[in-house]
Amino acid sequence: MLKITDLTAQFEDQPILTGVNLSVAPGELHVILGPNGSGKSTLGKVLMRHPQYTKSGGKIEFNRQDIEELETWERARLGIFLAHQSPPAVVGVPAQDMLRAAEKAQAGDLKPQSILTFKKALEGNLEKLHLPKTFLKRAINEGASGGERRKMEIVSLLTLGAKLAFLDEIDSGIDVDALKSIVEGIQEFLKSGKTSIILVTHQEKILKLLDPTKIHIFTGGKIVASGGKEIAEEIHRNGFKKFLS
Amino acid sequence: MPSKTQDAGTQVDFSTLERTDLDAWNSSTYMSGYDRGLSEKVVRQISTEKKEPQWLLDHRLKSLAQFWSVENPTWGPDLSKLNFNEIYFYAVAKEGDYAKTWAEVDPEIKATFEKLKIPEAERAMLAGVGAQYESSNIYHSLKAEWQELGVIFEDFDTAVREHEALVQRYFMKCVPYNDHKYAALHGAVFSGGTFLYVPEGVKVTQPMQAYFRMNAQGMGQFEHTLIIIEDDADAEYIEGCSAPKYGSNALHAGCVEVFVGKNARFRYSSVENWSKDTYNLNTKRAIVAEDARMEWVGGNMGSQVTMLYPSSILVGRNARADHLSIAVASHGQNQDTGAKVTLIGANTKAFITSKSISKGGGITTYRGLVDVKKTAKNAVVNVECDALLFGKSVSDTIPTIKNEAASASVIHEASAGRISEEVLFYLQTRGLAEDEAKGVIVNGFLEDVVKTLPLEYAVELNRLIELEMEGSVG
Repeated sequence: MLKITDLTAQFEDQPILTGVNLSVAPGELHVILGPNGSGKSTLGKVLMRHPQYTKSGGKIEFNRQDIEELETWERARLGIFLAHQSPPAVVGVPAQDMLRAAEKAQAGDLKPQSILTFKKALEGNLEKLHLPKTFLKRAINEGASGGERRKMEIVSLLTLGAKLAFLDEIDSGIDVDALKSIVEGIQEFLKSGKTSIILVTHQEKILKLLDPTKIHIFTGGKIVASGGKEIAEEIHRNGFKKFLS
Repeated sequence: MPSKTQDAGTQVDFSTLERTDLDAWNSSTYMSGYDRGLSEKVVRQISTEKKEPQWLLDHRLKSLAQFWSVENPTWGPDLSKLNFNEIYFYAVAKEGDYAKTWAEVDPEIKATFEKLKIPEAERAMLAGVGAQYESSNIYHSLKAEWQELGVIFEDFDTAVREHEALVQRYFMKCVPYNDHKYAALHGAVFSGGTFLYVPEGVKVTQPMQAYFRMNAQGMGQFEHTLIIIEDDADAEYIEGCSAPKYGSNALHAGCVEVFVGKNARFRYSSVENWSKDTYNLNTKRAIVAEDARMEWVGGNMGSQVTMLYPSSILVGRNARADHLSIAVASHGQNQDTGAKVTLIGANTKAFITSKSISKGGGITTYRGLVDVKKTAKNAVVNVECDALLFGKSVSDTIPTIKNEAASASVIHEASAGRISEEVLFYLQTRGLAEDEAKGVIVNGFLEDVVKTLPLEYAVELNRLIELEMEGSVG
């Protein structure tokens, strides 16, 4: 589904991604583990063409299509979902309205589902993530804690749907219960076997709750090692030492 | 306030209106025969062609002298590039009187108005439509039922002819010719406009509408709207303005005077969407009597420079004014708008809400004057101005508050929010294109205000805002 080849990118003059190679097939869950400052989040931003980052080389293909020329919203409409690490508050815009507008934008020329169906699905997803219904009318992310914002990202993902979700540090700074709800949301997203996830984190505790297809170690702006659970064990015992060159 | 009554199934679809419709223009060969620039000759020509009574000619000449003797204001946007010698202060579209029905209107003019959906609007939901083309009314009709009640809804020239005494009693008594430089200019060259008179106790349930149009290059618009709402009466008026884009400076120095009688209600809604090279220096003022209520609702979009401060003078006890304004400024635009309220009677109230949006480097300024006189015991004034800024745009709030009544309460709240790149990126990762993202934010910003607007006005306003947010560089 997603193929990243030799991807390099920079922030102003500073190189951040130094040659990322990654392949994700439908139904797979990839976890990217790496220390803070390694550039993992930048990968998600460059994938979605964040205006402050410049891609300097390499290729990103989504379902065999080179997405180089596509704008941020076009990539979202292809089915790539970015769960932000620090989702901003969109003041004055009720969450319900924002998501409905997004749903309609993504539907394009096709007719979106009725507002009642949409609302019901949204309320259902809020419940799954243990967020109160009041979140519908509140401006999205306004006055919300870090944990609530992360949960809201998953609610958005489940409501809008996607083919590939890039979850940026969805597990950092949240309590055990919130983490459980988020993991359940992730599992629901993967239920069909046709969707995929790239989950970026610097903590290995989420690995105990999920069953990743592959684990990648990310340092110095690229993936330096890939494998299965044995890699997670190494990190758990000795940290990232072995992988830092 | 009058309730919204609509004939079933005849909604006007403003959503199909495109920016290009508003910018369409017809050839304007009729400008020949008229001089550019301002002179006593031009002023006399206006009066002669209209066959005006002597008192009006005298008023024009007095105003002209006043205009020459006063300087441009030293505050607000820069007006120094406004070149009076380039402007046609008067031109008539076609010979002849205005038509009473759509069928009688000149075909070329008709085509322009067809594009702007005027006849549909007339049929569908409005009591009567007066449409102005350049400086003379072409088409005006009033539904029979209102005529029977004694409601007068005429173009201004006809009102002078047929209701001279009434007009003379009120004309420029609310906004005197020596009020400021552009009131003086207006007093000299005013032409066209609307006269609305609602007799005592009459309640008009459908809103009345006039649609102005400024077409030819370099034309000025100086329409005069005089509205008299007698005691216990109730009415609503919607004024929409539009002009195509042109290179030279077009000038709009119109005037709206409203007299609201005891216990009467009146709402004046306007959308000012002049083309991007226009100077919109309009004056709007209402005098509000005891127990009466005045509502100003305004959307200001187009024009290069706008200086517009709807004003309410609350003379009688318990008089009330509500001001609502939405201003959008894009690249190269300077919207200097606000409200002026003078509270004289006891227990008077004024509620002002101003929402401004600046994008692409546009400038919006809220300039307000609250003047509470000593006699305004227990007066209440609430001002809320909110600004939304995109990118490197500018917004300013310049409130002036004078309060001589110890028992009065004056509250002014302002807020400003700048939309960051992060927020726009966030919305785009949800599949919203950049303009759509801005639109979502703007809708959220305006929602509580748009909710209170009359439906047909809200639809047109939303569509115009959408067109503005689409970011075409004017």
